[in-house]
Amino acid sequence: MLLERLSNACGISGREDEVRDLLKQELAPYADDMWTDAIGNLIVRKGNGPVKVMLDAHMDEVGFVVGAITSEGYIKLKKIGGLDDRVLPGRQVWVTQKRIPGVLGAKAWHLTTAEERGKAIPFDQMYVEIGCKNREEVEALGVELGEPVYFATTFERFGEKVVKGKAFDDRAGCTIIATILEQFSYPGLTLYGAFVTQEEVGLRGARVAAYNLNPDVALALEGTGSANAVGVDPADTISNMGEGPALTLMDGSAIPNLRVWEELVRLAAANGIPYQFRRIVGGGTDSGGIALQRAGIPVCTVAVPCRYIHTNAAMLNLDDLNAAVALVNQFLLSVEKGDFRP
Amino acid sequence: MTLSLVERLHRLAAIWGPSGREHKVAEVIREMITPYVDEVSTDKFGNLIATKRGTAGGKRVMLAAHMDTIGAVALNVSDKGLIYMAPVGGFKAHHAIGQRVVWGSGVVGVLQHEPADDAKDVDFRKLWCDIGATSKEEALENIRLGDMCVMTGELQQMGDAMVGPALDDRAGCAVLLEVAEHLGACAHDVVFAFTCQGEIGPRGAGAAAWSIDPALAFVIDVASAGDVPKGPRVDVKLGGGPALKLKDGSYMAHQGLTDMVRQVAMDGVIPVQTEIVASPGGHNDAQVVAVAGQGVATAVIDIPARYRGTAAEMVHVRDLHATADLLMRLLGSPLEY
Repeated sequence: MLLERLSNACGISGREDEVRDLLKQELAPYADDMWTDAIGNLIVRKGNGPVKVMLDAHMDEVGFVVGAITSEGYIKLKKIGGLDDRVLPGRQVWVTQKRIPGVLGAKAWHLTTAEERGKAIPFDQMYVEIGCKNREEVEALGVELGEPVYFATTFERFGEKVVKGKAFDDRAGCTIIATILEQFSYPGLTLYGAFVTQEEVGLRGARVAAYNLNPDVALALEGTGSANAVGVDPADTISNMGEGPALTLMDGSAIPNLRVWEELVRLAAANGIPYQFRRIVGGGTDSGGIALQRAGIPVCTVAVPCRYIHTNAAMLNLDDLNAAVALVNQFLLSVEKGDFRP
Repeated sequence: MTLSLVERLHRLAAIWGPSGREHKVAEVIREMITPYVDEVSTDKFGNLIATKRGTAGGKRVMLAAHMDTIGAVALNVSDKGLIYMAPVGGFKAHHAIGQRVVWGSGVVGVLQHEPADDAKDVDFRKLWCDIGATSKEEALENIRLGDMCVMTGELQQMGDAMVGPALDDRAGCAVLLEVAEHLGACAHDVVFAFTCQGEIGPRGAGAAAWSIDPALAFVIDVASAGDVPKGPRVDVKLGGGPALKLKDGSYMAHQGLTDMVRQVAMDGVIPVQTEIVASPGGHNDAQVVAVAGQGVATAVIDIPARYRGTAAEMVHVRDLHATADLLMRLLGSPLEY
């Protein structure tokens, strides 16, 4: 499935090439036009109707770059995007796009003090080991400063509905847009699939895409946190995996356009599409970058709940992904018919 | 029927309009400003833009004031029907305790907090809104998740002080309406921008400035006065006249424009205070207006206010009039700087 191939593809912010190439190949048969802009966004146009709609999802994922190589052959990392130190030590990683296998190491457990054992290992005490004895051996493998490092995670299915993989934030959104472009046509719309860059480091690609495309309305498709897990107060779960796509109420980057938000709620209810609200106001999405372009662009974020987001192994429920596709489709039909006029 | 500045402020301060939900404010301002301008429109962001065309040879000037107020957004409802929220803009939990609020649906509620011995324990997560519902279902019949509430309260006059909620920045809106009514023939194209989402971001003013594309802009907001015990370290007094902002955490004044404002104020014998806010504090529409499009020379003329962010914000009638007078003098000048 496409989500599997997208999840297994590697692309930290600024290094989205592999993801972009995959999407290009996948969507070429369905596109009326396709181009890459100056910041690396892949824009896929379908249709040539009077109303311009932009569907946004970001191609980049959180990860690392090589920050230093020690004379002993260890690799020190710098983070790209938000990562939780608690979940990093011991992870298997891939170094560079060539996927050289490595391990995120730290001081051995039997050398730690009682005090250290109760705390997360500080990131600056971690390093990657790829089996080299010195800097020369590391460099001989093509590992250079600035080269990307990824979680070495391969997509898997957990039973019928649940899947595990890295980078569901935001390959889930990429999958939603690709599915829409592949399965549906909206002759009344100029539909832009905007697969954008550098979201995780500041909503950068989306600003450029929205400025250039100047759509009448936009949706940002995302993966968002889900914490309906052991020991979490029901009020703190953000969103619940398996209960439908989450509509943002407000986040750190944007308040959704009220009319777009209400139309999405109306369409979900009218069409029996499960949905929920994202019950936290922190974090940012591309909506924040899109909304502020030019004279302002109406936009709302629709997100697939993902457990363990921004870690090596996120989970999502395929029913949520499919419901998000159904909701986006209904929205596009509504705009095309003129039921919703942006 | 024309209204006085104070009468307009009474009407504006009573309108419900947190960030992102400014439509009711825009509706009233549209009605109030239409007789005095040539053109009124609402942009895609929700900003209300009113243009009074100049007679000849003038500049294109933007006057901005934000319409939104702080508030809170509903995130969860407990089984007992209590609504849990997150702040919209700089709504502090300790200012919220015991306040009455009104939701967009018109439903009223009261905010209350778990017992807290220490001020440090006061937190929005422990704060709820009670709308008199006895179950989750009943509460959700009255409000939806995502709905917003704002503090309510009557606007009252105490001598020359006006006290009430939402004066940040309905006071600025009232001043702009005063200018629109009394400006008369003016060489410059004057574009009044009543902006959205000024309490968060700010956001709307940037979009407004982009489409207006002015030569220069004046942002009219309220500034925290420093003349209360342990108040902010700002040398601005209530009743001391409009405050010309030189800097805050996100904005540096345009030197030439600021000098011109000072000169025009001096010529008109209008007292002007100087406002300097230490970083990283302070946000205002100017930070996004100044960098919109090709860049806009922007000055911030603030109305001094005490007790910002509460249901009893205080401004001084003399400052409101002086701010309007200063703006009219500026618009009557060549605006060369």
